[in-house]
Amino acid sequence: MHRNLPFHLSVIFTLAMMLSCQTLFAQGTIKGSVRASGGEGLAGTAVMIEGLQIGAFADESGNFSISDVPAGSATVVAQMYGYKTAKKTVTVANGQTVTVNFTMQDSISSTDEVVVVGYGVQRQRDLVGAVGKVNGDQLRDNAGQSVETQMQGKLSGLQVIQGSGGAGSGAIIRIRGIGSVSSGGDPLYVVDGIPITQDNFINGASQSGLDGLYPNVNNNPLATINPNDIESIEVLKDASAASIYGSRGANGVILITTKKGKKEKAEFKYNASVGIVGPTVLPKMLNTEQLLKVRQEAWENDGNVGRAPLPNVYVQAGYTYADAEKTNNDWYKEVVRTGVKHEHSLSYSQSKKYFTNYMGVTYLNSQGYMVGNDFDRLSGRWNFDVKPMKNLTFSVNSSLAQSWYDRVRQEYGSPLGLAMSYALPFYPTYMPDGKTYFNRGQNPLAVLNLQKWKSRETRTINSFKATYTPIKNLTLNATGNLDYMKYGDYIFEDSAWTQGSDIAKYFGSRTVNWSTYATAQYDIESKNKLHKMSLMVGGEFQSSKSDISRLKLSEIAINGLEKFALYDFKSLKNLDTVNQVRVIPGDDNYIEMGDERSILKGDRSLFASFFTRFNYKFKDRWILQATYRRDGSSKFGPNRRFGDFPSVGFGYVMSEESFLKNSKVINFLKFKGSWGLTGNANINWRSQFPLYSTDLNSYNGNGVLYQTQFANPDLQWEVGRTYDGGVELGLFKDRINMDFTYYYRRTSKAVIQTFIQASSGPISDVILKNVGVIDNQGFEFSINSVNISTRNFRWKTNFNITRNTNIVRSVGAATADALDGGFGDMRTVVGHPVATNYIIRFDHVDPATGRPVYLDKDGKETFTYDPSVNRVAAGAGIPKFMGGITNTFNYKSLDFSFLWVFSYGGKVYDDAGKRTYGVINLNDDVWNYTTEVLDRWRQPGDVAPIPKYTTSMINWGGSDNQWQNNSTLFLRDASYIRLRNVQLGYNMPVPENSKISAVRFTLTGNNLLLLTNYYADPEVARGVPTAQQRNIGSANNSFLTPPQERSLLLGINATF
Amino acid sequence: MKKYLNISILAAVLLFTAGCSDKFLEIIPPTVKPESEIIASPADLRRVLNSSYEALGYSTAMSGQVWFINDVMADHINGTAFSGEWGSHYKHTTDIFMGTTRSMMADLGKVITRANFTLDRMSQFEGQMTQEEKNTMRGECLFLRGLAHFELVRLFGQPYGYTSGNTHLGVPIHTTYSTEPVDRSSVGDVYKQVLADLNEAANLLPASNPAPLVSSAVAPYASYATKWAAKGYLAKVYFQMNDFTNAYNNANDVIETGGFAFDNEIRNRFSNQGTSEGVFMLTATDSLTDNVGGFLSSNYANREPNPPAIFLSDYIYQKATADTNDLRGKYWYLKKGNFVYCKKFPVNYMQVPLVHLTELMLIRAECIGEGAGDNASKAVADLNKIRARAGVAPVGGLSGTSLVEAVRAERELEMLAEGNRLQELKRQATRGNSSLFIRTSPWDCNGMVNQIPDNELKGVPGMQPNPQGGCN
Repeated sequence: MHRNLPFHLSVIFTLAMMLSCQTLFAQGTIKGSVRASGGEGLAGTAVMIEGLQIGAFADESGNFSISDVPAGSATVVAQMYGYKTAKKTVTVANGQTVTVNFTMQDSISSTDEVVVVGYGVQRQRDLVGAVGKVNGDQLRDNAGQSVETQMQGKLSGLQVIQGSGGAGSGAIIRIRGIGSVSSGGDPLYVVDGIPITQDNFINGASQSGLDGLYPNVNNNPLATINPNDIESIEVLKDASAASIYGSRGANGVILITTKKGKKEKAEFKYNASVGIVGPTVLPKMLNTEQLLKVRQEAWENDGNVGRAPLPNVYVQAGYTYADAEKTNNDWYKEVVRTGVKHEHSLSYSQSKKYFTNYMGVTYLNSQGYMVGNDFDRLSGRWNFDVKPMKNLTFSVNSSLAQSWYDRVRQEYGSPLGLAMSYALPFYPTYMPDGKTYFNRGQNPLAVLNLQKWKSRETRTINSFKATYTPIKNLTLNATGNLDYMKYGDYIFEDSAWTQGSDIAKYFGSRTVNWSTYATAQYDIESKNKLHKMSLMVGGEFQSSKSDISRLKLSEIAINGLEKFALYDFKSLKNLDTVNQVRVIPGDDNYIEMGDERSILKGDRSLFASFFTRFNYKFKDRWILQATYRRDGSSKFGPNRRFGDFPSVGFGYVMSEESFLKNSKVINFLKFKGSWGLTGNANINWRSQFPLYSTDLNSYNGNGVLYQTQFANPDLQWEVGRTYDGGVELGLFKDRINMDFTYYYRRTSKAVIQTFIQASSGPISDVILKNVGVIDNQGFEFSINSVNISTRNFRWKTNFNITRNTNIVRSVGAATADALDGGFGDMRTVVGHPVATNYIIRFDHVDPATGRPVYLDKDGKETFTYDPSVNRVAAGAGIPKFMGGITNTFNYKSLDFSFLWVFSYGGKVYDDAGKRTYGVINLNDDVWNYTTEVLDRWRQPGDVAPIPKYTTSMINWGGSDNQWQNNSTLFLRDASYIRLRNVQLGYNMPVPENSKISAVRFTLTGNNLLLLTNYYADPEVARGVPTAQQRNIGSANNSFLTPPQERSLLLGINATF
Repeated sequence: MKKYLNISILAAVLLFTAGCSDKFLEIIPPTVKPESEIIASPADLRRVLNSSYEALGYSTAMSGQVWFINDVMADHINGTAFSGEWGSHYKHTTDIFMGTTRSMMADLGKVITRANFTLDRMSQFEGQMTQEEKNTMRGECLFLRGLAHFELVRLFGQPYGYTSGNTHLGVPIHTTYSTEPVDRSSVGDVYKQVLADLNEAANLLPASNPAPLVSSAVAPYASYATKWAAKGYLAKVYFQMNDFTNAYNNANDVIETGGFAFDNEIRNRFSNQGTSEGVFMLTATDSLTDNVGGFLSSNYANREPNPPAIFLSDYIYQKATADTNDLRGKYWYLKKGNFVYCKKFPVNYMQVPLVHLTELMLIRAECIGEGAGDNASKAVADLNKIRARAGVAPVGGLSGTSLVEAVRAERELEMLAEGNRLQELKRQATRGNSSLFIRTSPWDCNGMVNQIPDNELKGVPGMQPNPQGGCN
């Protein structure tokens, strides 16, 4: 019998299709036993009837019974952890009982799993490279959070630093440490075989900084990837795995594979979740009474009498001390809220003889906890394989996503940043006139209400693939891909903000990334089956093109400029009343404006590559793999056009040997080792070209011309040389799985931004040189265990820990100050990790005088603060250990899991600390202070962590230039343990014969608990403008950074 | 057979991918143009040289900040209310992370770099320029390079004469266009290079220089380097070194044969139209990018009733207004409450003379007092010419020490806020007054020298920073 799909579903899915469903009349019973190969009964085995949601667990002796089985053919499936899944098909007659007995074979389940590697798949047991895998269903804990964030703590060797609680924000990912200083240190992202466009600096934190106004937000290249569509994510960690990606594999590769249809019967899934979000922890700011007291104390400590003066801006507005005393604003209340988010996802999947199909559409509406911060995404995916012939498959993988951001500035000058800094508790919102914002530039509400910033990103990633097997064992594959990304920032500034006219700005970019690759793979097996070989060869060509347009319009005459600016900037071109607007013919992406015009034909780059992989296996236990890739790229300087990237790996599966084959303890044991070269081409390749001034400056009325950048034709990719050795162990039929790996990676020819001294510099005072040497070495350990497995209860644990030691061996002739990470004193210093605080050491507060005692470069105590000679490497921003532990409990229909993530031994530089618990400014540039400041020296004999309050850095041993008083007083322990995720799930029993086959409810909490010595959230990744700052100064450097989000979500998943 | 088929398919894929030549990988970004297109003629090179002058005239360089920093560290500015970087300079507590020092180093660095770039590329246009044109261009480059090194070494090193052999650290010497790091040279070596450059420039440069390859759209100010500009600067350099004979000779040459007319109107010295006694003047045009005097006019008083950013000290106010007839006191000072405004730089788009007759006459006069050149009457005549313009009574009967003292007193009044005071006090200290104090601090305490900023230090591994602090 057939029936049509419900009407609304056929509308949502463009492909109309039919599905069959059997109506049940007669019923019988199936019973039997489940035994291990040794004969013992396997209690707790799940026995199911395939295609129906009925089944039973085997009892203590291994027996089971399933009643009400529909008459006819039935496939019985027995599943038990540690054993291979077994299937038997029987015929059930009405009213009869059929007996089915299973003898379960030991499973090599986890090692039998197939993992995606570059340009192919491999069995886990045959891998010689280090590949970590996360299944898609582990990436949906927190609707609206980016996929990479949700990988945190789940894989060894992977450091995920979620930066901020901004809606839709991304994370910094480091795979086995960091091997780059001045070039991109992020891994390569490959979605369904396509190396996607990834540019963290495309928006607010780009070099231009959106006119310098909206920095501190980095773009998240994965924001448009919908976690609901992801089948699995594989992380290629070592050279043996990643060198097939050649010049782009050195920082590791993250392969994202999307879903395909799996079951013959059409399956529909509806997922929904709704939740609330807030910040993990906000620094506690002083209230008016505390702040006035602190200021008074500093004033009197400096030998002054009377009342400490109030800030100039406050006095000039006509406010008095009495006004201050009776006002106490909590600015957080104005800029922080409880955000609400919800997500709805609907998918269909099916696998038939001639096609497999997956379609999904998801809508997400995610409010951040910062007022005015939203992230919305609508995304759809269609993955379709059609097999017109047995040996021919055509595949289409296509996704289309649109994201909208309502952005707010972050950090310095942002609404939340101001609530943590310039917005004093006694400041009013408005001037005495009640209309004009008080202290406009530093008033959180003025920033919030007078500046608007929206972004829109449209992304479509598509591949078309043909797979042909002309003869047995030979597979040919040709793929064409398109990754198109259009991104725009829309900004509006009210005239009350600019103090002039309304200003609308648009910063847009469009990147078109074409690629094509073809592979041929030939598998051969010797007649006696002792030798197995496969050879894959391929070629790839990739072209990327990006254009940037920047428009600015300031025109009082246009009514509703805000509306146009934020929602419909392009329609401005139709306003023929506005003379300033002119459309450039033939290209509607670009509008030329009267007052400012800047259209940049951006980067064009090409990659052309050849690659091959050879695998050999002897007696199923000796494994050899060799890969080679040759990459040519327009990015490389003319003197270094091609790079070669080989790798060799071997494996030995000892458990195949006869002496282990029948071991009751060890069921799997593999040793592996590899060597290889990988490259990093994520460099600012424009820096190879000499540039000249284009400005219109003049002297004496005559034009000027000068060189702004030196030529640099020798610039090339960075080279990573990795050694890797490991052991994989499965115990007690895989109840316990362990994996231990040691690795050593030396990056040479690392790009180092070498400063040209000011006294001889052109405008661009840096030159990139391939002179750096950086070592990363460490180990990874993971263990998965099934601790308890009974009929009704199961407890599983997954634990992983990674130790990475990062040491910079050489930076050529660059000095520490040349390799800076932006704010703070984070630098790259030879002999220390890439991200190191190069800073004056604060030792203690002198109990007698309350003055800070520093250490000079030789470690001698001194009262003098002299950064010109006394700064030393004093604490890394990189943790010593990190990892995660997940415990999962299943009890009948309930499941409960929680994930703790930990990071130990890193330091966080509290860059705002020098203003929020450092020297106190009374008149200008006045900040509020955090409660950290309260614990200070007061009288001789006091032993206190904070020195005596003062209003001048001179009293703390330095110069009058008090914003330059970085010291380890503000360098804090960044170790933390956080309850990253906790989830309670309930699988509702569904009635037999129901159209619904499964319903699951979940209650999920993210970041519910944070244990740390730091007074704010120590896991920080700041939005920064350059790759070097991202490597050195972004993580573990906090400057009014919005803390991570905490969320609580309720979810429902229904399958029908 | 099958095997061969397989192999040939593999080979085809291989050839397809490996057979490409690398030409197609050559992509030059649309915004990048080869230098041969950008600097295609001597006129283009002239624009490069013009950019060196432009950098010299940045407000953060010689049209404001360098003067101010040299004054705020001495005794003519009231900096008690300054905080931040200006406060650090005033209190002699500069550090290596300061915008002021970074910009002075970088901007004077640009003057040097662009001059060196011009020198480097001149050979490419060998056949397209006359010998005279080549001499002029080379002379201008050397003049700019020498001038910038002289200003840098005074900002970032102890003065000439601080050590007997002048072996104490100065600044790096850049004589080639290169990205290679250059460490600091001794003050003695920097002065040697400065003198070599300026002396060669004086020989090469013509007496007047409306630059031959550029149509000079703006009035004939002394906008570009001439023989007299080079000699004028030489006089200043030798005088700073207390080399009175050479200082006298160069100053005397300019005064006697340069053809510059002493400006009898004191208010013309800093004005829109410029002064007739300007030997070398940074030129302001009425285009916004050329407001070279902007720093001075916007930070000193010209915006009444708004208070200026910079106030003068009571010490100089008392001195300048002691004689009520003194026009300098009358025109240049305004006392408002507790504050003294400086009104010497009254307008925007001011011509900023870096060398002028007044200073050269003061140099010549003091050199005479120190025993160089002519007899004292010539010096007294110079002095009285300046005094007459200021409306004060002439002096007489001076020679030797009394002459020197009189000239110094006159210089203090005349050179107000022209960035002269700190280096003049240091010069006096090295001329036998080793116990001299600047305000309350010894003239040679560490903080009297600016810290080498981080943008310089970070380009040169191991570069020695200046010692910090030590002044009270």
